Order: sequence, then structure tokens, then C-alpha cells
Amino acid sequence: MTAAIAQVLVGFAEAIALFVIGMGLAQNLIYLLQLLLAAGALSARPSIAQSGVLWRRYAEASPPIALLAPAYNEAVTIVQSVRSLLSLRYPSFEVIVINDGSRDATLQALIEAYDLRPVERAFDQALDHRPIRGVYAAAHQPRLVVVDKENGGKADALNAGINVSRAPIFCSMDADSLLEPDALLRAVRPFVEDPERVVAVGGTVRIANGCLIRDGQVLEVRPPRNLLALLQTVEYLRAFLMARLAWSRINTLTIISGAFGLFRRARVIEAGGYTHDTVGEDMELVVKLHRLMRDRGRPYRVGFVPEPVCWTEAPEDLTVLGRQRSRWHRGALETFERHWTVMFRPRYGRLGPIGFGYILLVDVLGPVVEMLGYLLIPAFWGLGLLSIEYLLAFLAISFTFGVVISVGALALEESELRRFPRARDLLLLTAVAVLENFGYRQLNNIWRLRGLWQYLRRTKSWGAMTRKGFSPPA
Amino acid sequence: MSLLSLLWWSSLAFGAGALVWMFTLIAARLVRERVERARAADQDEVRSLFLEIMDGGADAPSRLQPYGHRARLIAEALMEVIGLIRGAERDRLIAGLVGLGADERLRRRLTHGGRAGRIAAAEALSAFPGPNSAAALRAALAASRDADFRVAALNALLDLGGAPALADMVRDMQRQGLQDSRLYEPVIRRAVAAAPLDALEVFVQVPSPPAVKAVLAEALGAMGDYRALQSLTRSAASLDQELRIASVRALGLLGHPAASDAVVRALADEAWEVRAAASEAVGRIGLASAIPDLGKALDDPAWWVRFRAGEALTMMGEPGLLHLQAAARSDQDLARRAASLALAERGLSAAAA
Repeated sequence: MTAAIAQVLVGFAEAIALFVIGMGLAQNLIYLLQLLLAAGALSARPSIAQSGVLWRRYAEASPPIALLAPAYNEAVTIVQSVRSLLSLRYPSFEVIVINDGSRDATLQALIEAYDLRPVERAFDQALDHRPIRGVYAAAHQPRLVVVDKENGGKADALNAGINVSRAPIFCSMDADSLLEPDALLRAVRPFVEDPERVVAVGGTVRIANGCLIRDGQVLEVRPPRNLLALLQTVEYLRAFLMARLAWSRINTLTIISGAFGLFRRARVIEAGGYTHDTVGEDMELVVKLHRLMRDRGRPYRVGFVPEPVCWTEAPEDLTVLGRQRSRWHRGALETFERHWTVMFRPRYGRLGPIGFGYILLVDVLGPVVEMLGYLLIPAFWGLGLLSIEYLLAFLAISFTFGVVISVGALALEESELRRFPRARDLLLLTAVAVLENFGYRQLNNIWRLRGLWQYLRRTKSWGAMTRKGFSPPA
Repeated sequence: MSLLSLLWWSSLAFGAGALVWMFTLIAARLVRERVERARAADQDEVRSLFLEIMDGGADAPSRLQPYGHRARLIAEALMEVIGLIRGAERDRLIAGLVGLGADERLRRRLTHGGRAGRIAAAEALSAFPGPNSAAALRAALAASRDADFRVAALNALLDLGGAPALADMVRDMQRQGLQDSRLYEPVIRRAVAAAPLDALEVFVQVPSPPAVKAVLAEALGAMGDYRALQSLTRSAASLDQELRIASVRALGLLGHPAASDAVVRALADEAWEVRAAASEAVGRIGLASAIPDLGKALDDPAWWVRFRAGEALTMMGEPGLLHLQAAARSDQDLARRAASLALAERGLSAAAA
């Protein structure tokens, strides 16, 4: 009897082990597929290096854009951020800063820096948001509008910005993100080339830590000096250059970063705008757009362009980074919960099995399965079932495959974009790509599990994200 | 081979592959850095030689000779300056480049080499008037399906006065499946400006998708040629919504009171986008007789219609202002708010004089 029970337990454990290994293999195959798709996307669309050329070819055909920059307690960086936004090279745009009930001097800093006065501005209350307390503008700065409203969160602030904007396209971003001067010209290309179908376009977000920044512009790209920020640099290359480019090629991109994304205003309003009660409002909006267009049977595209660069400050502190990653994971799970049925409806095409299948595999099951793997190892060892040789071999192949994928992402960067000016930066990033397998990936998994726990407990808060601001490196 | 061996050999292969890949990239980067430094130095040299040629430097063309075979380099440097220079300086530069045979190389480059160089060559050829350039551009246009290249070639042909007929351009756009791209809009506008009568004929007689007709309509309106009035008035009643919007907008741009019937009818269109365009057009034309209709539009269910109606009334002088002030005191919520905001945005008082 005991032997029979033991046999059943062993069989069960082996089945779980096979499941864990299978999941790992499936994930690796997906990464390989992403790498190939991204390489295909980049080779089919060579980048245009010079912004003078961009201006000549696209400026006349480019539609007006409203830049929406929600700000909450950004007094340290807001003036510099707005200055850099106002100096973007784009034929027709306005900057709408939404002060989301800041408790510091964000609004006052803007009023003093730009000599703002209260104005009346007619706008359509197409989306719900917390009341607007006032709108400010300055005669000498006609592109700048500042909306002061009661605090309601980022989604709420963006909805207010969408209401106040009048341009057919809006760009959602973080108030502390820095856009490259020609970022809009590069990002708007899909809207110019395919205006009927394109409803949203994401752009690459890069790590600004370590870069030489002056007057709100990145003058020299350098890798960060902080190890945590370096690790995130490699991660961002994989996530943006590889993964999002790949999914956009087959129109299954389910997320456009809140730090930089262009959207067709009318479609977003039709989709109901940003959802309030989620921390993954950026992902949720993109999924809602997919569903809207497929439900209406309209041809559409959600694109991604690798060139336009938005620079953001990455956390250099484990606590802050952990909070961020837990929040991102929580957001992904919330979106999955709201829209998981998409996976089983043929009407949603590839979005279901590929887009949402990926979320299920990597975001929903991934952290749990990985943790299960770590727990199974000592359990099997204790039961005398563990083959150390196979374990080491399996770890080795997982590790080296992961390095290949990271090098692949660096190769994509190097082949088309080459934003890191020095060859030794590539060597450094390769070393970091190796290093991230020893502790950083495992930490990420813990944070994602914490995000899962928060999701299960229905935690709503964002946590405190402390920022240093973009100061020149010493 | 056992599974264990396979795993180990695979991981070794992956590891070695990753290392080799990265070192190859680094080596390629080192080579590319040298090439790019050299190219940047060449670009600086070419630019400074261009300046010397423009200043009348006698030996500058001969010093430019070593770069003469590099069509893309010459084309890109030329495009940086050509829009900034006029008169004798420009003539000297172009003559110097012609003497170098640069124009001939640019013509050859249209159909050879990488994409970026071909597009740059097409753009640069606009600086070299003459039948040879136009012929080469037309031949390259016929052979290319690249939208960016085609736009560059068409623009150059328009500069040279050798563009294909607008009708051919429109038919070709449809053949290439590019009728929806906004890249062509500036080209169409330029073609319409160059030959407005031809454009009108195309608009009326050449079968084309509504998206193309809409671009033609707005371009005709922007031209200010009243001969387009009748055709635009007809197309303002088209079954296609985009064409109706563009036609109404074009009538507003033309600003001729003969369009009043069509524009006023459009104020009652089923599509709010057309009603908004019509409100804007009434304001541009200054149709005082349509003020009461604009007043009704202040109460439209669509915000953009109310906004444009309010805007238009502020452009209608005293009668418009009086109407807005009356609406701002009315008991119709939407109209009251729209009128108040239209007045407040322009710093005008809602109170009656």
C-alpha cells in the first residue's frame, strides 16, 4: 500500500517536473520566435538615420499630435521635462500637462517657469475623470496647456488630457520621460503610411541612467554605472526591441508602454478611454482597442516602431524596482482577468492564442511554474529522485539559451539602431546578460510572485516611486 | 548520443555561439566606427567644398573630384544646402556638380545600390533640371514599388516640371495600393497647384477611390480656383462621407458665397463630421444668412459640431456675437455652454452690450 502511494506520488512529481520543463521549453521557443520576427521586422524596415531627412519626407503629411503628460508630485523635474517637450521637432503639436492633484509645487513650478494664466478652454467630456480645477496657458507659449485637476490616478489624468486635446492623435507619456527631438516624426510614420488602419503605435523606451543629459536632451548615450540599471538595460532591449517588435509584426501586440505611445484619439474614446481601477491601464487600453476593432469588424493595426526613443529613469534601488515590477505584474494579471475569454473566441484571431496565450504562459503561469521548479529540486533530491547530472545540464542549457536570446536582442540593436556609441558598451552589456541569470532573474520572479499575491489580495496602490531626476553624471 | 550529452553539447554550442556572435558584432562595430568616422569626415569635407564652390573657389571642383563617384554622399550633402541657397551661389554649385558628372551618377544611382541612396538620389536630382533627369526619374518610378522612393521621385519630377499627368498619378497610386497613404497627399497638392484645370478634370472624370477624391477636393479648395466650385458643390452631396467632409471643407477654403446652399445643406448632414466641417465652412465664407443655422448647431448632440459652430459665430462679426450672447443666456444647456465657452475662449463677454 505504502509502495503504491509512493509510486503515485513519484509519478505525480515527475508529471509536474515534465510540466515545468515543458513550460520552460515553450517559453524559450517563444523567445526564439520573437527574435526571428523582430529580425524580420527590422530588416523589412530600415531606419532613417537623419532627422533632417525625416522632416523633408514626412513633415507635410504628418497629422497634429497632442502630447499628454500626467504629472503627480513632479516639482523637481517638471519644468525641465516640459522644456524638452516644447522643443520637439514636429510640425504641429501641443503639450498638455495634467497636474493630477499634486501635493507638492508641481503646478506652481509650471506657472512660474512659463508665466501661465488661467484660461477658458472648451472641451468635450467624452471620458469620465475627476473634476478639472482649472486650465492654464501662456500667450508666448501657444503649444503649452496645463490642466489642473483633482487627484484620480494616471488613467484618470490621461482621460482628462484626452478630453482637453483636439488633435486626432495623442501621445501618452510619463511626465519624467525624455523624448528624443525627432521621436514624434519617427513614431507617426505608421499613421502616415496607413492612416485608415493604424490605431496605436508604441515606441522604444530606453534607460537614461548614465547618459549625459542637458536641458532635457540626451546628448550622449552611455550605459548606466549602477548594476541594477545595467541589468534593466538588457531587459528593456529584450522587452522592447525584440518582444514588442515581434508581436507588432503579427498584429498581436497587447501592450504599449505608458511612457511613450501614440493613439488615435477617436478610437480610444470609442473604446472608453483608460480604465480607472487597474494599475495596468496601458496594457488594458491596447487590449480594449484590439477588441473594439475586431468586434466592429474593421481592419486595423497596432504597431511598434523601434526607432523613436523615449528615455526614462530606471530605479537604482532594489526596493523601488521591486515595487515597480510587482505593480507591472499585477497590471498584467488584472488585464488578463478582464479579457481572458479572448483566448477562446475565433473572432479575435491571433490575438487570442498568441497574444493572450503568451500572457498566460509567461505572466500568469510563468512565475508560479518557475517557483515550482525551484521547490521541486530540493524535494526531488530529498526523495532520491534527482539526477544532479541532468539538473546541471538542464540549467546549463537554459542559461546559455537565455544568453543567446539576450545577445540576439543586442544584435538587433547593433544591426539597426546602434544607440550605444562605443564598442566596449556591447561587451559590458553581454557580460550583464550573462550575470542576470545569477540572481536578477530569480529576484524578478519573486517580485512577480509578490505582484500575484497583491493581485489576489486586490491591492490598488502604486507604492512610492522615488526619483532622482535627470542630473548630469558626475 | 544520450540525452545528457545532447543537453551539454547544446549548451556548449549556445554558449560558444553567443560568444562568437557578440565578438563578431563588436568587430563589425569597430569596423563600422572607422567607416562612419571616415564618412563623417568626408561629409564635412564635401560640405566645405560646396561652400568654396558657392564662393567661386576655382580649385574646389577639382578637389571634389575624389568624392564624385559617391552618389549618396553627394546627394545627401546637396539636400542639406540646396533649399537654403539661391541665385548665383546655387548656379555655381550646380554647375560645379554637373562638371563633375554628379548628375549622371545620381541618375544611375536611381536604380542601383541601397534604398537610402536611391531615395537620396531621387531627391537630389530635383536640383538638376533637364530632360535627362526627368527621363531617368520617370523610368525609375515605373520600376519601383517603394512608396518613399516614389514620393521622392514624384516630388523631384514636380520640381523639374516633368511630373506625370495627375490622372496617371492617381491611377498608379491605385495600382500600387497606395491610395490610403498620406505620404502622397503633399505630392497630390503640389500636382494640383501646378495644373489646377487638369486636377479639376481628374476630380470630375477619372474614376478613383473616395480617399483620393477627398485629397483632390481639399487641394482644389486650397488652390482658391473658383472653377472648382460647381464640382465641389456636387461632391458635397456624395454618398461617401469622407468625400462630403473634404468637399465641404474645400468649399470653406474657397470662401465663395455661391457655395452657401451646399454648405447650409451640409449643416443638416447625418454625419457629425460633415456638420462640423459645414459649421467651419460657414464661418470661413462669412455666410451671414446662415447664422440662425449655426445657432441651431450650438445645440447639436456632437461636441465638435457645437465647438465649430461657436467658433464660426465668433468669426461673423457683430451679428454672430449677438447670437452667441443670446445663446449663452438661453435655457438650452448644450447651446448655453457651447456659446459661453466660445465667447470665453476668445475673451469675449457673455453679457449683452
